[in-house]
Amino acid sequence: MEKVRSASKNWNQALTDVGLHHDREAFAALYQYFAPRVKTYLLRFGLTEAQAEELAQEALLQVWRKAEQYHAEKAAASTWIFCIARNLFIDQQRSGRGKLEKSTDSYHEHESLLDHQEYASDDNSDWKSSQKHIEDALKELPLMQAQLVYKSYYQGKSHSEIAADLEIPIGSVKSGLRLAFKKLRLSLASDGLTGGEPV
Amino acid sequence: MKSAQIAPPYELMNDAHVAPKHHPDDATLLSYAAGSLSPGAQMLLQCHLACCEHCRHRVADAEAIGGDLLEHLPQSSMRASVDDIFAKLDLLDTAPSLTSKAVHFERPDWLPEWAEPVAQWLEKDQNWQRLAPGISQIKFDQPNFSGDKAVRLLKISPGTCMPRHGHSGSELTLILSGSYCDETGRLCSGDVADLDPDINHQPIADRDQDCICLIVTDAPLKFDGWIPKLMQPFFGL
Repeated sequence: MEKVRSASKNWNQALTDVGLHHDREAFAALYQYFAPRVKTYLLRFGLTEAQAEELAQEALLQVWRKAEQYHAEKAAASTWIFCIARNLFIDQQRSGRGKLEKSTDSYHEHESLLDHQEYASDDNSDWKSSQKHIEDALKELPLMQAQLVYKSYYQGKSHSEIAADLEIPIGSVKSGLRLAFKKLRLSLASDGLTGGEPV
Repeated sequence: MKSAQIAPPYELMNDAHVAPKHHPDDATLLSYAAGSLSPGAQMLLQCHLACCEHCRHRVADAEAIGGDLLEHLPQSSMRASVDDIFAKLDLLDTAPSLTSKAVHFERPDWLPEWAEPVAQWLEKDQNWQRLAPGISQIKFDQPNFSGDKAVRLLKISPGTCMPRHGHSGSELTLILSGSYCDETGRLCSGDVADLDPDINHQPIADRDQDCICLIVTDAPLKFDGWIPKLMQPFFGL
């Protein structure tokens, strides 16, 4: 538990240092860790390799430029960076720079929402044990609920798009997401992460 | 609100600063945080969030889940090294700043301050298109909303009874001004009705003023009875 907190706090501290002191070393660490993951996030939304690379770079540029607006007591660094990447993706789609064919693959084709072997290659060994709570909470979700979370967060699908994909009623999509949210929120609560203001 | 608090007088309940009592479904808040709502639904949520602290906290939680999920993603190799990024930053830092000022759109007086995101889609002196006695609309069919089935403002005259209808998809309604009652209760400025397809309802506008709402649908409304069916083409749904 202490390890979980400390690893997460390291990123929060790094981002705070970038904001306060334009700390290049802290930014380099954030870049090494988050840029490759932001790129994967964007690839799952259906962007091409080149688009994902460009947008991931833009996201990290924004992290540097907006870091002064970051407050560790309001949100975790990962949450803040997630919001930047998400907003960039939405803006890019709205600006009409290429409508995307949203992918139709499903949760079980990826085996898991989480990827485990990646941690072996991380420099920061703290991460192996970090984020235990959300990981456990996701594993405990029934397959259908995990599927709904996957399609919402990783494929950008609306309720009606998910309903069409899975051939289930919209009402079932909503009730499944409601239940999943409730369980995942509990795992956040035990991490002391809830109640923050949006970025 | 704590139970110990004494209910505010009725006049205050009508005040726009009173926190909304009808909220979007948790599933809708989660999808907003995940960035997966349609453009019209996203705009509707932005307005509601601007006036609803309760939902802002919910969304922050859903965003924290997004942050956790981001950390768990496998890595894709970046072609740009961090030094490339610093080189870009140094270039940008010396270039003249291009930061654009936030644009403020002219807001008609029936549009509350928190509903600013809607203002940019309204033309100056935009006309309401009459649909039926006591009901008129402004339809947003800009390319921005091509991912929505329909995004519209509906103005309902005091006391007007809307046709009873169900939905084949989902319907999000945000009250901008005035109020209405239906089977789910009384909805006032800032409230959101987030209806599942199985809910069949008949809104009636309250008698004191026009009720203006933003409605986002992702599938056609289904009206009961033959007269409403005749109306359906007028709604263009």
